[in-house]
Amino acid sequence: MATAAGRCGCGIVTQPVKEAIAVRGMSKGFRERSGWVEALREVSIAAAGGEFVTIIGPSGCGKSTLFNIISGVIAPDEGEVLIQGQDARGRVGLAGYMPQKDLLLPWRTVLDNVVLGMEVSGMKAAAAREQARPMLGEFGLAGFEGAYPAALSGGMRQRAALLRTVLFHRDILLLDEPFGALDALTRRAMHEWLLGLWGRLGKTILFVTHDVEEAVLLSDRVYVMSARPGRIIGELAIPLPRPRHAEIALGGEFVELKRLLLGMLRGEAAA
Amino acid sequence: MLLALVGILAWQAATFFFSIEPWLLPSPWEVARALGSDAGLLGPHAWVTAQEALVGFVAAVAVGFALAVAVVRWRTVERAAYPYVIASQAVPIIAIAPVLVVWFGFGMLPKMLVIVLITFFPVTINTVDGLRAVDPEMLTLMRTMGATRWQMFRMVQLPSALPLVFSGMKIAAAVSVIGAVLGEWVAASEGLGYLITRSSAQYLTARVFAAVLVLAAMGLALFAAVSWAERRATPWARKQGQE
Repeated sequence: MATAAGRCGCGIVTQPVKEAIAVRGMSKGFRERSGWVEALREVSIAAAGGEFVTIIGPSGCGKSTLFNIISGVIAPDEGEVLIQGQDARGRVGLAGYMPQKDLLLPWRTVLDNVVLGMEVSGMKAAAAREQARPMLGEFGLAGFEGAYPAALSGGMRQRAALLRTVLFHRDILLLDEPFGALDALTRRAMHEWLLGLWGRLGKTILFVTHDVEEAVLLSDRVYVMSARPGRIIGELAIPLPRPRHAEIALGGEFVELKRLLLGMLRGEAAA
Repeated sequence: MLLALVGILAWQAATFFFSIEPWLLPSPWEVARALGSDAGLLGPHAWVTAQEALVGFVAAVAVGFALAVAVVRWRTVERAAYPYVIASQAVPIIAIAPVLVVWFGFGMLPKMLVIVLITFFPVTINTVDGLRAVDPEMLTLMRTMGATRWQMFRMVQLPSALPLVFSGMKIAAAVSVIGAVLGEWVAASEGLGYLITRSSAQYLTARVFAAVLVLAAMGLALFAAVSWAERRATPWARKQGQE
């Protein structure tokens, strides 16, 4: 696990460097028409600063609920949620959240969509646009700043949604199946691109997927979740060297890691 | 266009071949002549009616929109006000218009009230539907960013509802002219509605038709103005439509 502890040899010891995200013994249930539904049971996960951590699990395992709790939109019933050492239960705005759907606002141009977070934070629209403009190129959106989302391809929409999340300027990004709706080719291109971006930005990423290959390719560490009620049933470090490229998926170590993850997931399916 | 031309020709032919009396059904030619010769009369009356329709329309949109926002924002308002909103549409306006005149006199106010009563409803209903149709996940996203209720309304709910708000406004635009005429029938000393009542009593049927034509043009103009505003205010919707 990479930590930033060594960097602060400055003498003034404030606090030990906290994990960027720490969720401990967290549970959540919902009242539904059919009765009480347990969505998450005693979930504990952590991510160090700058780490790429993925949560993988079957559909409906409560991954999105977990993200809604970490982003502060819903409160957990039990347990702790800490973001950079702060209690994040019911507190919004501590992490950048990219939902499963791109949720670009159809009435805003690409440029106005990506500055949404900054505008909500109280920045003047003109200043926010100035800050966003130079980043459009890196996100493959150059020349589309005045276009409406309806005119964009699926990959472009996802990149715009990710730029919106990045421009919210939080050290932690929560990415909920961001490439789930893309075709295989676009998806592959997005993986390489995201890895490059992550390397440059140095942010902590918590990533949700149900694609084993995607999990191995991108992550430092992978948590495996069970079907409802969602529990953490496994954890796997991915010690593959970086920078990684798509060809790495053909290597023996990669395949072995995939096999391990699939085994953990299948173990769950059999239970 | 072609349909209108055929209609007018048939009408002209019918009045000519069956020699219908002009006081019963004037020919298009006679209506056109009345439009020209009575322009000095029609103009000032039309101006009065246009003002009433416009002021009434603006008031109706304001009332209808504010009511819709309140209904969506507060459940209590919905429970308390909605039954009356719907009941108000069952009230025969023609029956209560004279009462409005007794209460508020012969000026602009009672006409405006008649217009508001018959046109706020489509604005309210459409705006409520529009505000409710917003994607709840967009609101969740806004919440993760720490957006205030006002920001969510201004940046998400309102633009999402705009196309339906404009649908309501277009209906209101077309109906507000009728509202003005209705108000004038009850009590007025000027306006096209007044002119129509007086002229038909005098069997000046061509003039009645001419006045009706002017009213129709007025309704079309108001409708076109709203459509223009809609295109300006919702450029994203147009872009999608063109694809």
